[in-house]
Amino acid sequence: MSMPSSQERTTTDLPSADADRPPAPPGASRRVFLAGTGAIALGATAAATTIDGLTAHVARTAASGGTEGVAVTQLEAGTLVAYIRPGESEITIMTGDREVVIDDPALARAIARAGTRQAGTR
Amino acid sequence: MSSHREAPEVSKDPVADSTDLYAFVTPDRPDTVTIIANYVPLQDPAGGPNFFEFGDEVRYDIHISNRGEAEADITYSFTFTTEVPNPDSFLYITGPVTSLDSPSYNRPQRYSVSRTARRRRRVLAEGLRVPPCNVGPRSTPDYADLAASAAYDLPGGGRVFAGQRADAFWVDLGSVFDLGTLRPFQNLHLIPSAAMAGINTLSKVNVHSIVLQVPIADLTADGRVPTDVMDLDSTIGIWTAANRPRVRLWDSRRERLVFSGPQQQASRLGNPLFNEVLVPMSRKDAWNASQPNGDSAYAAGVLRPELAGLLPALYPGVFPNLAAYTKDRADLAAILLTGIPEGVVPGFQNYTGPVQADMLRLNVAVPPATDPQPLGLVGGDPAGFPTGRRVGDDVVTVELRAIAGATLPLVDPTFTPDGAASLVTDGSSPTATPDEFPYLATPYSGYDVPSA
Repeated sequence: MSMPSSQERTTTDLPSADADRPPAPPGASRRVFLAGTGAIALGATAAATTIDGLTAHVARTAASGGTEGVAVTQLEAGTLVAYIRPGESEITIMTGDREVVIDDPALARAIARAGTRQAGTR
Repeated sequence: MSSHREAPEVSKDPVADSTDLYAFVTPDRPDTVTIIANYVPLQDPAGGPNFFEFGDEVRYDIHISNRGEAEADITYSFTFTTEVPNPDSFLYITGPVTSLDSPSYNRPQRYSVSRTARRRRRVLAEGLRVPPCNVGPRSTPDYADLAASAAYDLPGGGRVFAGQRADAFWVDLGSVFDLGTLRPFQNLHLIPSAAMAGINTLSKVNVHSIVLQVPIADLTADGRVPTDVMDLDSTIGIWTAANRPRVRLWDSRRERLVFSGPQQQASRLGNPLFNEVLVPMSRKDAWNASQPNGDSAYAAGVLRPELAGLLPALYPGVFPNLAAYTKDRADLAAILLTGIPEGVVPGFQNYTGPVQADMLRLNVAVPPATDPQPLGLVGGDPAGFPTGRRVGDDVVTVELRAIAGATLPLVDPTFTPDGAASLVTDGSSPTATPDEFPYLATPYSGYDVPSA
């Protein structure tokens, strides 16, 4: 999969009550994120999604152009939520205690399309 | 109220509702400051079977600014973990609980305390126990001793307690939110009725408190214990906050809530009544999510408070001078946004610099009063509000009178306060509080204070 240019912005809050937690494993890719989002139902324009088993730092890999695949089931247990505001291409991804924002129109469109499907898992 | 249910969203999220903040040089340990941060307001003591508790996903913060920039130079954070020893029982308590580690306590909470300064976080204590709520004489006999066993020493000379207490704040909620009625003066109200004594609506409700006592030297910028009241380094700014992960979502497959993302501030509190009275409805939630060093964006509500315009309208003819005053309220800005600079009150200041921020400003060089006056500074007692806030400070009356114009001559000698400005009060009275740690009374028991 070719990687469209993505802009990454991470936010952290200090003090972090979760500072003692182990860091999330590196190596997850944008492809993993796409694969995961395909398995859940989304809202039509503003989408909030969860994916069990994904705690990786999606955007870090995306920004570095990494394409290595890591199966969702191989990742540590956790939750990932993606949020897209109506009419925008920015995707806010929250996993563990991190928040990452990427600007990826193609991915945003793909998620929005998935969100307009009929409810249910496919 | 001080900050109980003061904004639309946090009113639906009580465990994250910063409710009251007190901070004072400790009378019985004057080398320390005691800070009390209350959450989970308006607890009906009989509110079972799921009684009140701190939120496991919530991070409770007490922030200290000691460099005059209204930024958190020091933060004490508290995080809680709840266990359910007997998941097959519906009961909160399964037998008499006489110790904090009793197996009969079926929702035990533990917590950790950390201190962050200069971006370095240090865990001060872990696994500390929260006493159960005061359910009744069979479930929680000898509650006072049980709660006392949950007071812990911290390394370096501090102390901490977290758990249910009687709410010490007092106000006549039922009247003040009924079109600004002050029962002792309601004969003068636009919709009059016979004057009567005020009612303390909170006289039988509980709250969850974090009580932190730390050496003064742990809070000042240079680690000294200031003794000169006029030394600018003697004043620290304090505010409390509650934070939640940004996403809360019901996972229908796992049949439980899941949380994701960094902590998002859900509420904050510095001066009592700031968000409640001075921030307009449409901006209250945003204010709760914002930081004090951005409070200049809310200064208009302080400089031209809505309540100052309402008083003359609700009490016709009672506040003519206030009604005629058209200038910005520099007195309120000094009290609430910057602290009172040198030269306003002889021999006193609690100025933290020009950054406008809602913080409780405590001048730690002011020694505890031997005869505390509930009206604090305006009552001639510089150790009381707005020098921090003691449990017994009558902040409702102080702020009501300040908004009514009683403090305006401090900054504008041309203004003559209306006679009523130094008399207005909601007429309610406080309940008794102890003068020793944790300075808040034993919570009311559900058995003794059933629902009406």
